[in-house]
Amino acid sequence: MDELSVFLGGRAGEGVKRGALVIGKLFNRYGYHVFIMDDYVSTIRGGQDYSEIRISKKEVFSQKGISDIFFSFHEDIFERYSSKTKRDTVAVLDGKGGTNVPFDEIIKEKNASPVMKPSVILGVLSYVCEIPFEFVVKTLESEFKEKADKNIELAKAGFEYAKENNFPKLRMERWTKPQFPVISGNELTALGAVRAGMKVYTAYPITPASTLLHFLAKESKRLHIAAIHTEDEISAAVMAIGAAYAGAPAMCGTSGPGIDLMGEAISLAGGTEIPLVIVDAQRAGPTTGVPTYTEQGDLNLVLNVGHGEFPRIVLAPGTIDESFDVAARAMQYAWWYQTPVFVLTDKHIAESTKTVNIQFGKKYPLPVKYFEGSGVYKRYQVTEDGISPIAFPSMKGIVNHTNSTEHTEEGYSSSLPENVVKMKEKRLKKAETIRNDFLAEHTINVFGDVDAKNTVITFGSPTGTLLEAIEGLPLKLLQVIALEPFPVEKVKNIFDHSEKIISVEQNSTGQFAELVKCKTGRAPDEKILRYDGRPFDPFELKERLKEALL
Amino acid sequence: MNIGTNKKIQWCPGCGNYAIYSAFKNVVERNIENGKLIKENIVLVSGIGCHGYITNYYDLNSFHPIHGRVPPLATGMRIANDLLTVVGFAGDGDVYAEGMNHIIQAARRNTDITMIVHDNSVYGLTTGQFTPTSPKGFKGRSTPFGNPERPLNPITLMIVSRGTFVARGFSGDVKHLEYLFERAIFHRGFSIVDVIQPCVTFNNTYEFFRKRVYRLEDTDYKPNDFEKAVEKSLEWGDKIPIGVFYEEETDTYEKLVRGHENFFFNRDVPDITEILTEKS
Repeated sequence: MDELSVFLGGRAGEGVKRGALVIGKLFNRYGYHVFIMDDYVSTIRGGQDYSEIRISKKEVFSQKGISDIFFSFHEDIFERYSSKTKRDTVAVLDGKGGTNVPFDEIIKEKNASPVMKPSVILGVLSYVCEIPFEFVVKTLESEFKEKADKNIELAKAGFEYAKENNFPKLRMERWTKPQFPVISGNELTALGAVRAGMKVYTAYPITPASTLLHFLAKESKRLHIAAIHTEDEISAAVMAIGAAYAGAPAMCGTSGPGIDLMGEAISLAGGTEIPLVIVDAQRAGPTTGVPTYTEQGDLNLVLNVGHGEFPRIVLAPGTIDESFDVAARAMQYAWWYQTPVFVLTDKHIAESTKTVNIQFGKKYPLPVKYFEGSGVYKRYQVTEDGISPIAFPSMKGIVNHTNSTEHTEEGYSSSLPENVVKMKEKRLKKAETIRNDFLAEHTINVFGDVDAKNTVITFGSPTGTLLEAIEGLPLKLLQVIALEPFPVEKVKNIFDHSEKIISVEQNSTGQFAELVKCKTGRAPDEKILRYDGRPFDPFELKERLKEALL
Repeated sequence: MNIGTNKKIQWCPGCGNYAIYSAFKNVVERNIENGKLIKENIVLVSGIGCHGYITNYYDLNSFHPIHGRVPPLATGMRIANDLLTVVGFAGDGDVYAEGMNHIIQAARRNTDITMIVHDNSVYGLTTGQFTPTSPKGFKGRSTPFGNPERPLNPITLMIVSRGTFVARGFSGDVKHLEYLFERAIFHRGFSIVDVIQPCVTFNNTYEFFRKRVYRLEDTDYKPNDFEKAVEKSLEWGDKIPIGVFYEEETDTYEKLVRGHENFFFNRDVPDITEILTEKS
């Protein structure tokens, strides 16, 4: 088989998420590309969690929705998600007979913990897919270190059980892809920022951004950074601003509800011209909403949050892979332009995991327009490009007056009308500089049939799914990375050669379609929306695209 | 040495802010001269309110941010660069209303910052509303029939929040303020000086306090006992103590979260190969 889709469902406490990752790593080691989507509910015990692990010879950017082999530790999970099976799906439930496996019995017999159940599955897969057992051993050793033995024992039991009961085969040949990191969007966002010099990360726990904090906290010593859990999102944003003022590149991260709270701090960073990167890993709103599910409902929020007028940049990676480059560039832009920069992801990118092969070694220098003059330092010096030279406390002879009150070039408070105009125009100038510079920046991607006369336009996580959905359709895919400043000319240019334009986004009002219309003067002819908190899957999307093309 | 600027000071004549301004100025100038403070390593943060303009009047690094958020801003600076001496000025509305959460967190973390609170029990800049430290019954523009709330005791609050240097000053006693500011600045960890500072326009309490305050330093009170400090902080009546209520030394927050890293001076980008290898 060229491709395999594995469903793994259980209750919280049965190691579903970790298990899915380990299964992904097994196939990564065996030479395949992997994409893992975790679906979990906002409870600690009693909920039904599942993961879809998609394994393929070619790179895949989304879950498949339909499984070839369906593991469930409980009958009710199988019943609930039976729509994710097909006629010949191999269903493996807890029990005996047919293709069932007595998971509980094996766990008890081996005196193991229920959280280790997925290790039994690794053994079953080894038999069913004809993966030499040594791959399982190596995977478990690398994952569980000194605790590997018990897991290997469980895997062996799974293998033997499948063999004795003559389980059907879904043979996967040894494939050729080298071993890549199996990594999530949040982790790549973190590493991208670190590679561009981030030293301080601040956040308050919130799904689906918490895993970004967890990862940076765990790795803080090796990365020589501080990852700080603050008392709230207000403090997270303000503390990051304090760190940046003192010369440490800083980032704060949250989800929509936290962005609401960060509003005044984002305005503060804009008005005081502080470099600040803000990650919004979106979830389904409004209010508490559907906290563990995905949505792109914060687009208008991040384009507008913070009172008053100030320059901002909003970037959205389209795939897990792209999170790295986008986060790194966000840090570079923040420090060059001294203004807030948003990285807009969503649960589907932030918390899904895949095999990633990108230029991890790429250098992201952090050029800063330093003050090199002598005499009195003017924090808000009026310059041609609107960017004032920056200097930090601890620099000899520097007095840096940063001021949220409207200020003079020296940073002293002033509400004189001519001064207000001067500073507003300085910030306008900076926004214009950003717009002009962005003409040469990487702000869109075009995929698919570039000569196609129809265009599907999107941003963020639907991109990965669309890459697959448009295969064989007369469509080119235009993904917008920079939502602000919007790449008006580039998009218009493609629109000028497009008969039909279809927009795809994960929300109920079509915020992106509205933005496209407002910026280009041309509204998409068809809008494809999804707003049940679940990400698009490629087959569903293909059908909807076909309909839209009629 | 003169750390003043040529900006015209815009406080009402007789405002308690002047006492805080000159006491702090004297302390900083003296300690820059004797080499105990380095001018470019000092950063002042001021909140929103009449006091907030104070950063315009010192020729020192400063950040004048938004209402209530002085402590987290100051904390971020300390996390970035260990050389910085960070002093936050804030009003009672700033730290005990809008930002009360933050001042409690900063105290219990023991972030190495100094907070100087211009506590005049009234919002001056917004023309005379009650604050969390105004007495019950206080008639302000938002409470024409009297403040319905009972006042907060900032000293007790800061002691039980585990602040490691908690003091009260009075703007009618500049010499004593200098003493408190100097000790607070050089205290390693979170220090707060709540300065009773009458507002001559909206809440002139000079006479009230002048009659009642006495210096703890003139008594045999020792600020090294938590329970006694809490008890002492509750004294409020015919006699009102000013001075250091509580003091202790313990690890600072920023040391615990960033070790000895200095993120301003060391911007090296780490190698991530090892982490990526472990992920694959």
